[in-house]
Amino acid sequence: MFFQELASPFDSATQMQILQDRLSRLVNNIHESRNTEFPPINVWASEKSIVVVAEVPGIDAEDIDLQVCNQTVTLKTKRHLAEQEEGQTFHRRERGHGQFTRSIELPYAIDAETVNASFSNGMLRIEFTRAAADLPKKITVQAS
Amino acid sequence: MTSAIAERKKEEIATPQSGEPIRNRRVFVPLADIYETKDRLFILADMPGVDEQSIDITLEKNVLTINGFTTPNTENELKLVHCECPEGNYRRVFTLSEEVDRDGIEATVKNGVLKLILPKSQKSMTRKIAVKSE
Repeated sequence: MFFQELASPFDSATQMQILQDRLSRLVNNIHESRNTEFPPINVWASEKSIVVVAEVPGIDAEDIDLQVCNQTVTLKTKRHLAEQEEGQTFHRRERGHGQFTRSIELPYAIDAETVNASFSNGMLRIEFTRAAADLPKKITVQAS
Repeated sequence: MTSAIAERKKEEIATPQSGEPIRNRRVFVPLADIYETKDRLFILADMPGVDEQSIDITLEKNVLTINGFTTPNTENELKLVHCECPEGNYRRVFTLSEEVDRDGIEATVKNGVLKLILPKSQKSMTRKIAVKSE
C-alpha cells in the first residue's frame, strides 16, 4: 500500500485503485468507505532522526496537544465547528469537527528535550532526534 | 468522539472531465463545507499546505474553480517510511446556481482552510411582494 501511494498517478495500478474507490462509493452509496485515522501523517526517518508531518487544516496551534512518553507520541487535536450564522442552511458538510487523538509508536527512544514542533498553513511538523543513549555504538575488536 | 466524516482519505480528482494535467503531480479534491445565509454563500475548503500566495480562484460565468498549489515537502537525508498524505495540488470546481455579486467576493485563508464568501446579487435575492387589496 505504501508503494502504491508513492507511485506515479498515471500508472495502471493507481488508476485502477482510483476507479475501484469510485465504484465502491457509487455502489455502496456511502461516503466513508475509505476511512483512515485523523490526522493523516507522513513519517520520514533515518538512523538518527524522525520527522512526522501531519495535516491538520483548520486547527489553531493552541488546540494541538503533543505528548511524548517513552517511544510513543500522542497527538490530540480539536477542530471547532465554523461559527454559526443566523438562519444558515447547509448544502454540503464534508469537513468534520470534534476531538481527535492519535498515537504513533516510534522505532527507537528519542530525546524528549530536543523535540522541535512547528506549524504553518495547517501542516504540523514534529522533529525528533534519537536519544544519545540509544544510538548504536561501534566497538573495536582488539586482537589479543 | 470522532466524526466519521473527518476521517475520509484524500480523494483524487477524476482526470477525464477536467483534462489531463501536464505535470506528473497528483491532484486532490479538497473537502468542503457549503452553507448559505439569506444574503451570502459560504464555502470552506480544507487545503493543508496552501497559503494565500498559492491559491488561484476563478469565476467564469457560473463555474467557480479553486486551485491550490503546494510545494513539495522533502526532508534532507531522511527517507519517507510511511505515507498517508501524499503530496499534490488541490482542485475543485463548483457550479453556482445563483447569481453572485462578483465585486463583493471575499477569500481568506487561515491554517490551511480557504474561506470564500460569495454575496448574492440583489436581483437574485428573494423579494417580498406586497399584495394590495383593490
